[in-house]
Amino acid sequence: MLTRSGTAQCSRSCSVVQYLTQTWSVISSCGVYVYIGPGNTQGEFLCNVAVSQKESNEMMRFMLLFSRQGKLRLQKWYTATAERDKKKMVRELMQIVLARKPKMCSFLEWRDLKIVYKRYASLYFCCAIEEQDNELITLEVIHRFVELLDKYFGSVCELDIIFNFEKAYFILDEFLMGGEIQDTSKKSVLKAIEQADLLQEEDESPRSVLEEMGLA
Amino acid sequence: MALKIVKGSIDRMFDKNLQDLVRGIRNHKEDEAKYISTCIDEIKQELKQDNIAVKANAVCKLTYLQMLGYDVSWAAFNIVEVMSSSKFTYKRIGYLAASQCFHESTDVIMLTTNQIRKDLSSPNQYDTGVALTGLSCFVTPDLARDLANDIMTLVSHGDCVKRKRCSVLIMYKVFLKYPESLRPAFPRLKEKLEDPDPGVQSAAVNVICELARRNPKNYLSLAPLFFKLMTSSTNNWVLIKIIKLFGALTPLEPRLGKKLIEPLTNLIHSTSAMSLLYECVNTVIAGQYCSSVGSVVLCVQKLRILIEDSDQNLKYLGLLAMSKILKTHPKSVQSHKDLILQCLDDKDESIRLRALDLLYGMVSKKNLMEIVKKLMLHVDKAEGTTYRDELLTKIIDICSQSNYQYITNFEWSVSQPVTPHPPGISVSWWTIRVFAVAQMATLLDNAHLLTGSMQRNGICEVLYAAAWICGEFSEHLENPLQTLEAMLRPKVATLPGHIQAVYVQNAAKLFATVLKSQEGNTDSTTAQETSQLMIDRLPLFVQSANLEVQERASCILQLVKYIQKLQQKDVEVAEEVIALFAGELNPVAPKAQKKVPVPEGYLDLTPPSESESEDEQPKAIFAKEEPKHSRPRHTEVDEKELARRREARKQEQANNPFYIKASPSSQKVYQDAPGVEHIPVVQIDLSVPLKVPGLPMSDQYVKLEEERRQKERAEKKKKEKKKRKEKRSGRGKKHDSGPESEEDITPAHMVDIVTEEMPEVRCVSLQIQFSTSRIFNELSPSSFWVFNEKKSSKHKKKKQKKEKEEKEKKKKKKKHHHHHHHSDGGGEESVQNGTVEEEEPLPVSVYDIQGNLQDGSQVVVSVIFENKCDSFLKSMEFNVLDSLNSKLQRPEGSGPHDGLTVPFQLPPGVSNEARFVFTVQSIVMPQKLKGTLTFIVKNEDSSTHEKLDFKLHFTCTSYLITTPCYSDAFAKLLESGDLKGSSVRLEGVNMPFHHLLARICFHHHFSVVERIDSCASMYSRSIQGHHVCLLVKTSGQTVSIDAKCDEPTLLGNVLDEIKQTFSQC
Repeated sequence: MLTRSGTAQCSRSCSVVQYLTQTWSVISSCGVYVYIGPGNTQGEFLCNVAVSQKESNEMMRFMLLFSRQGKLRLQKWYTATAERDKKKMVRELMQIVLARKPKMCSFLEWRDLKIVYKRYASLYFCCAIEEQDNELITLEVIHRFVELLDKYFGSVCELDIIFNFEKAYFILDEFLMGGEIQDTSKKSVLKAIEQADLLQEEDESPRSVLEEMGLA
Repeated sequence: MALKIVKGSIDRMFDKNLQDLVRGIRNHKEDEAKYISTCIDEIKQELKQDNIAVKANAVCKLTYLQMLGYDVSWAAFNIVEVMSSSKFTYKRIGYLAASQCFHESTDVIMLTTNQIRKDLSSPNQYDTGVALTGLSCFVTPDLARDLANDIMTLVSHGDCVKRKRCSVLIMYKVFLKYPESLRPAFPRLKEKLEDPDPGVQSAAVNVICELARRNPKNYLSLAPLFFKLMTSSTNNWVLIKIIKLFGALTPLEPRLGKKLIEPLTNLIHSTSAMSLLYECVNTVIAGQYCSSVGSVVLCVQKLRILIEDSDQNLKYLGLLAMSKILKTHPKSVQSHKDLILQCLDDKDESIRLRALDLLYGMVSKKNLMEIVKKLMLHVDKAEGTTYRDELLTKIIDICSQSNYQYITNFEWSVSQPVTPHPPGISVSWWTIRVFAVAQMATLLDNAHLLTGSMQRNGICEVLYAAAWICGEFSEHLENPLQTLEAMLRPKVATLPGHIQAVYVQNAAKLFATVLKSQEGNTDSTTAQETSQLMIDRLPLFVQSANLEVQERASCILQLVKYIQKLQQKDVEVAEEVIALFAGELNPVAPKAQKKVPVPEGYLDLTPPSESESEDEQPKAIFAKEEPKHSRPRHTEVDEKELARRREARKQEQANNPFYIKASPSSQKVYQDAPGVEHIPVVQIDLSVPLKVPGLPMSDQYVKLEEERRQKERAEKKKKEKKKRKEKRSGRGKKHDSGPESEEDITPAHMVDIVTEEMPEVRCVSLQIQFSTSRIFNELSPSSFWVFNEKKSSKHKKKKQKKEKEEKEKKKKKKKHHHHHHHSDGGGEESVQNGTVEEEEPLPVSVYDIQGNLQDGSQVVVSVIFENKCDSFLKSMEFNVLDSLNSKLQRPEGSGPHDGLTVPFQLPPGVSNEARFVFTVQSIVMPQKLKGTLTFIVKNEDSSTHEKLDFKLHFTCTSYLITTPCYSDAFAKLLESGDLKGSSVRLEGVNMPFHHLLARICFHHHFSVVERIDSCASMYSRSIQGHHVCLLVKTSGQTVSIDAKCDEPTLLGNVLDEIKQTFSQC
C-alpha cells in the first residue's frame, strides 16, 4: 500500500494535503475594474511567441517515479529531450534525491530547475518545475496522482505499477497533459479511464479467452 | 488464410506478454543484459508478423524496455503501424509508445500526420483523447502547422467537454511550435475564458497565462477579464495561474499593482490553501506592490507562521520567500532574527542552509557578535563536512562583509579563530597589536589542529596572516623561540606555497628577535641552539617545489649559517641581524603610522569598554566633537560630554513613553552566555576540532563584554532610581523615565495603586492581564469591564467596595472597571442580573477582545472568570446570541445556539481565564453581543442552577493591531491617495502631549510614527489590513486629529471611540 502505510512520512503528507484541499472562502468581488490599456492590436502577437529562446515554458518539465533502489518505474517528459540527456538527468537526479534524509523538505534546486519530490512507501515521485512555478501545488499534483493510482488499483503498491506500467501512464495522461493539469476532478479522471478500459475489453474479449486457455 | 490467423493466435499464446517480460527480468537479476537481448530478438521476430495484436504486444514490451534505458528507435515504424490500428486497445498502446519514444528528429513522425488527423476527427472520443495526449508529447513544427486547423475545430465544435479541455491545452503546444497559428486562434481562445464549463475555462486560463509569461505586453488588455475571474473564481489551481499572470503584467502597468493589492491581501488573509497563500505572498514580494508597507508586514507575518510550522516544506518555502523580502525590506525581516537563528537547529540541512543565507543579509554592527557566536557554536555541533564548510565560509563572509564595516570590536574579531584578517588591521590598529600577536602566536602553535580541514576551505589563510603578524611584531611576543619552533615544524610543508613563503620569511624575523633578546646573556647556548634549529629545519623548505619558498629558504639558510660561524667566534651579531630586517621591513609601519592622521573613531577603540557604550548613542556626538583635540584632553571632554549626553538621552527617553527598556528576551540571552564556556568541547565527536585550545579568549571576550554591559545597566538603574526619588519629591517638574511615564497611563496607574493598597483578588487578576499585555504589544487591555458583580449583603464585601469607590474618586481615574451601578461611557451597560437573588454570590468576569493576527476574520475574546462567593461553581456554559456579523465559533457538530462549556470549575476565590473565538465578517462597525453564562452553584447541601446575562462590546478599536510603521513608508501610504480623510477635535484636554499620545497608543492600538513638537503622526492596522493614519496636533487644550483610512466607516468609528476615551478624563 502506498498511501496508507502509516509511516511518519504519510502523516506528514496528510497535513499538506489538508492544507491544500481544505475549502476556502471566496472574497466577494468589490466590483473594481482594472484599467484597460491603450487599444491593443492583436497583430503583435505573432512575432513574439517565437522570440523567446528558452527551451519552453511548461509548468512541469518531467515527472519521474523511481524506487528506493534507484530503479526507474515511470518517466514522462513534457519537453522533447534527447535520449542521452534524459538518461543523464535521471541518473543524476536519482542520486541526489535518494541521498536525502527522510526528514528533509521536499524541494531542492537543481540546475535551473526546481525539483519537488515525495516519497510514498518505497516509491519516489519526482517532478521538475521551473523557477516561477509553485512548489506546493506541484506537491499536490503528485499527491493527486498517487490518489488516482490508489483508487484505480485499490491500495496501489510498487508492483502494480511495475506490472501495469502502461495503465499508470494512461492515468497520468488523463490527469496531466503537456505538463498542465487537464482535469482537477478525481472522479472524472477515473471515469474516463474506466470507460477506455471497457472499450479495450470489448476489443479484446476474443483474445482474453484464448489467453486464459494459454495461461491456465 | 483462416489457418494463418489461427496459427497467429496460437503463436501468441506462447509469446511473452508484458507481465512475463517484467517477471523474467526480475528473475534474471544476475544476467539482466543477456536476458533482455534475447527478449529483444524475440520482439524483433514478433514485429515481423502480420498479426497486429502480436505487434502491439511487442511494442508494449518495447516501451517498457525503453524506460529501462534500452534503445528502441529502430522500432519507430512499427510503433506507427500499431498507432494506426483501428482497434482502440492497440491504438492506445501505439500512441503511448510514440509519446515515450518519439522526439522531433524522429523521421517517421511525418508519416503520422494523416493518422492523427483521422483520430482527432474520430467520432470515438477516446481515439481523440489518445491522439491529443500523444500529440502533446511529440508535436513538431510540421505537425503543428498541419494539424492546427483540426485542433481549432475541436476547440470550437467539440461536443465532449473533456476533449475540448485537452484541445485547449494542446493549443499552447501548437502555438509554441507554430507561432503563426496564434493570431487566428486567439479570439477563440479568449472566448473560452468565459466558457460555461469550469474545466475548459481553467484550461484557457492556463494557456493564456503561459503565453503571457513569455510576452506579457500583449495581454494587458485582458487584465479586466482576469481581474473579474480572480475575484469570482473559487478554484485554487486557476487562481494560482491568474495571480502568476498578474505577477507578469504588473511590471508593465504599475497601476495594476494598486488595484491588485486589495484582493491579494484578502486572499492572503482568507485562504487556507498554503499553495495559494504562498503564491500570493510571492507575487506581492516580487511585484510592484512594495510601496505598501502594510502588505509587506503582512507577508512577513504570514511567512513567520510558515516558518514556525512543523512541516519542513512550509518552513523551507517560508525561508526562501523571506530571503526575497530581505533584499527589498531588510528591516522587516531583521526583527525575526530569533526565528531564523532557531532554524539553524533544524534537522534538515537544506533548511539550515537557507537560514544561513538569510543571516548573511541580516548582519548589522550591533548583532554581529551575537550571530557569529551562535554560528560558532553550530560549527562545533555540525555534522557533515559540507555543511560545516558552508558554515565556516558564511562566518567568514559575514565578518568580512563590505570590507569589515560591521566589525566594531577588532579585539573580538581577532580572537575568532576562523576570521581571516588582512594584516592591515593589525598594522593600523596598533593598540591591539600586543593582543593580536599573542593570539596569533597561540594560533600558530596550534596550527596542526587546523591543518586537517585546511585543504578544503580558507582557514589556512588565517595562518598566512598569523605568521606575518608574529614575525612583524615579534617584539611583542612572550616567547619568540617557541613560536619560531612552531613555524618550522615539518607539517608546515603541507601548507600552500604562498603561506610557506611567509612562514620562512617571518621565521627569519623571529630568529633576529631571539638573537636580540639573548644578546646581553653571557650564556650563548640559547642563541646557538636557535641557529642550529634554523639550520636543521630550513633545508626542508629549500627542497620545496614552490619557487618563492625555495628562494627565500636557501637565502636565509646561508645567512643563518654565516651567523652561526660568527656566533662560534663569539661575535655579537644580533644588532646587525636586526638591522637587516629593520632596514628591509620596519620603516614602513611606525613612520607611516605617525603620518596617518588619527582617525575619528580611533579613540573610542582604545578602551574597548567605552566604544560599546558609545554605540548606543546617536552618531551625532562624533560629528559635533572637534577633531583636533589632543588625546588626553579629548578623553576628559569625552567623559563629561558623555555624562551630559547620557543625561540628555535619559531625558529624551523619559519623554518618550514608547521607549522600551531591554526586553526580557534579550536579557535571557545574556543570562545564558556565561554558561557557554562550560559547554563540553571534548565530548563532541569531530574529526577536526575547531576549537583551538589556546583560544578561550573569544568566549571570554563576549563574557567580559556582557559583564560590562550588565554593570552599565545596573548603574543606569541606580541612576533611574535616584531620579525617581527626586521626582517623587519634586513632582511634575521632571520628566519621568520609561516605567514612570507608564504610571500616567490610567490602567497601569490604577493597577499599581490598587494592588498596593487593596490586596483583593479581582485586582490581582487585573494585574496579571495587564502584565501579559505589556509583553505582547498587540494584546491591549483597553477594554476591561467588570460587567457584573455581586451585590452583597455581607458586611465585609460592602466595606471593600466602599473602599474601592473611595479610591476611585480620589484618583479620578478612568472608569475602567465598574460596579453594577455605573454605566460605562463607552455605552456598554454593566448588566444587572435581575434573576439573581440578593444573597446569591456571582462570579466576576473581566474580558479583553483581541484581533487574531493569523486570520482577518477572527477575534479572540479572553474572559477572566472569578468566583467571589463562598460556593463552588461548576458546569459553566458560555453562550452568545450570534448576530449576522459576528458569530461565536462552536465546535463542529454543535448547533448555532449551543453554548460552549467553560473548560474549568471554580472553587471559591479562584479565577481563571477562558478564550472564545468569534468570527467577524465586517469590522467597520462596533457591535454588541448579548450572552448568558449559566452555571451551577454548589453548596455543601444544595446546588442551584444560575444564569448571568452580559453584553460583549466589540469596539472598532479592538480590531486594530499595533503595527510599527516607518516614516518613509507612512509618507508613501499617505501619498498613494487611496485613503479617505476625516477629522475630529477634542476640547478641554488637559494633559501633556506625550501622555495624550501614550493614551491613544495604549487604548487604541496605535504606534507613533514620528513626533515633532506638538504634532505627531500615528499608524495602526486593522486585522483585515486597513491602514489607519492619524495626525495629532495640540494647541492649548484643543487637540485636533486628522485621520485617513481606506475604510471611512471604520475610521469614523475609531475616531468616535478616541473621542470617547478623552471625554472621560
